[in-house]
Amino acid sequence: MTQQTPVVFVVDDDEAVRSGLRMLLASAGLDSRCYGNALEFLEAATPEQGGCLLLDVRMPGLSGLDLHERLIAKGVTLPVIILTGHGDVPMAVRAMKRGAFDFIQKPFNDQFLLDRINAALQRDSECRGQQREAAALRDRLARLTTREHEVMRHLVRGEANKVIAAELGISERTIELHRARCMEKLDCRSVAQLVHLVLRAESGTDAGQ
Amino acid sequence: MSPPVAQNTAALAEALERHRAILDTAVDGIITIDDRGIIESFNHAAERMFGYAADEVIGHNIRLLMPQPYRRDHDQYIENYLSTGQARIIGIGREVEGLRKDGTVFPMDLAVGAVHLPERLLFTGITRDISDRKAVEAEGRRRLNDLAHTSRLTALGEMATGLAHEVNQPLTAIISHASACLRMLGSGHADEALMRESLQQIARQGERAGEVIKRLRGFVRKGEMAFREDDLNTVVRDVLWLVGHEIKAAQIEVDLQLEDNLPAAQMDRVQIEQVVFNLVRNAIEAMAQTPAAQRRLTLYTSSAQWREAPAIRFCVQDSGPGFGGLDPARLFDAYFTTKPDGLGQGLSICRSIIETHDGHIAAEVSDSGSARLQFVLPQVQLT
Repeated sequence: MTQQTPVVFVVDDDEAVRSGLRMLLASAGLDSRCYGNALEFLEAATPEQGGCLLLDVRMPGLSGLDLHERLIAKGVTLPVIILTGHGDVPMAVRAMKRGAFDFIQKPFNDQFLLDRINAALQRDSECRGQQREAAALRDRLARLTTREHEVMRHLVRGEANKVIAAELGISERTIELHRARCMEKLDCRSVAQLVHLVLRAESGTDAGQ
Repeated sequence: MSPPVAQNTAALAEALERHRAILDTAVDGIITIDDRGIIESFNHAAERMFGYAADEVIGHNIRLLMPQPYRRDHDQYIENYLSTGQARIIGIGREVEGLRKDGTVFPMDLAVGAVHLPERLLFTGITRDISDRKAVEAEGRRRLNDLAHTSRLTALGEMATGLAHEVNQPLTAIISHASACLRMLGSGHADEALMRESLQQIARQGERAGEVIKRLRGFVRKGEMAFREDDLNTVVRDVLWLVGHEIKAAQIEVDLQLEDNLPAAQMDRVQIEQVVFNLVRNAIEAMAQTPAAQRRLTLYTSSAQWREAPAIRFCVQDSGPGFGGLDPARLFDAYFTTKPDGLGQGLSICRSIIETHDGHIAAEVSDSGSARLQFVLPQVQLT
């Protein structure tokens, strides 16, 4: 996963709104890419590109909410800010339930929108940072041998060497050896550090889904 | 004087008196004039109707009792009849206007007969004041107008979301461009070309928002009933604009077939707009359960015949489920509705409006089983 400049994606069927947002985002120093309909964006979107998505809720063809679902299915986890022309409460509830980052009414105050966009970018960047870290940790965990991995699993459960040796049916001395190699490979000095590492590696997996 | 003559004279006097009594008990005004238009008799009902006593008008020209343009043209009417023998009013009767002594003008029915005496020609006019009937008709039209207006406002309320969007889009564009300009100026890196483009957009979008509001105002205005020549195609296009958002949201394909050079019709534009609007919205709603790919709205206008006279037709057909076996004719009854939350007013108002226009509205099941509604309006309104 390479780090890229975040992009604010805009999907709105109104050319005038797109051009306005493009200018506004540029004036705030943000890169943007605008699409006139949901399918165009769905084609172009990749899980790798970071940023956020401004999505108008009322559009012909694929509706904003449907697009959001299709994106999730495609592994695109960009935070979505739903734009609406009218406070349509049931629609807002539906959007937020499906994990929209925010719901903003048009016309909006420019600073408010930019603040929400920045918050969304921050959230995306944090998510991606966590995912990168988790991926790196998973790489390190993958360097363990099957036996070392087995011992590590017992260690994070807080079991003593003697107990692990009895369970695995090998000598305590061998467990000590595996344990040392495991700690070395994972660059951990204590069991507490090891537990923390494993948790982060696994939480990253969850966030990526 | 010999007795028979005296007897005859007495009999004659009695006959005249009897005739006058009969004329005076008549409810209708009865006026006779000679072939120059000079009033010869004027009964009680005529006195009450016009506010003149008989002896004030007898010997005067009948023009006295008429407002313009009848006053100016009346002598000519008689002359035309005398020279050509062609009757424009005699034996026919028509609605005209009378002028009272106090200067007020009132609507009246007038029937004229020619009485050919051996020596000369007399005309009798029988007049009936129809102010009351006219007032009732006007009141009925006013109520219909109010009802139509209320129902239009209700419908616009239901469409508020879509309409707000129409105004919000240009406003959003304006705010975005204006904010961008301010930021560029604030940063000290104001690119003149970019700013110019933004300012142009701001001006254009301002006009766009204004146009939306102007058109909306057109739909909510409460017009006086005004019949004038108007183009049905324009009405259909305006309505289509108004419901454009609903059509877009429902992903309906529109097939618009407007006849080129469609003849104009006498119409109250606001009301006909209302009818087209109701019919189109009904059609949209009828397709709510239809799969999106099959939603199709067909609108067309054409020249037509109605009661053996030239007319124009508007027709709307949807691709929904039709009337569910119900009698299409009942749709126009007040309080009849197939919608769970409907009031059953829409089509009933439509029928009243179309009938006020001397037209006809009908519903039928199309070949594919969906609903088709159409109305015809006469090309020229007969008066």
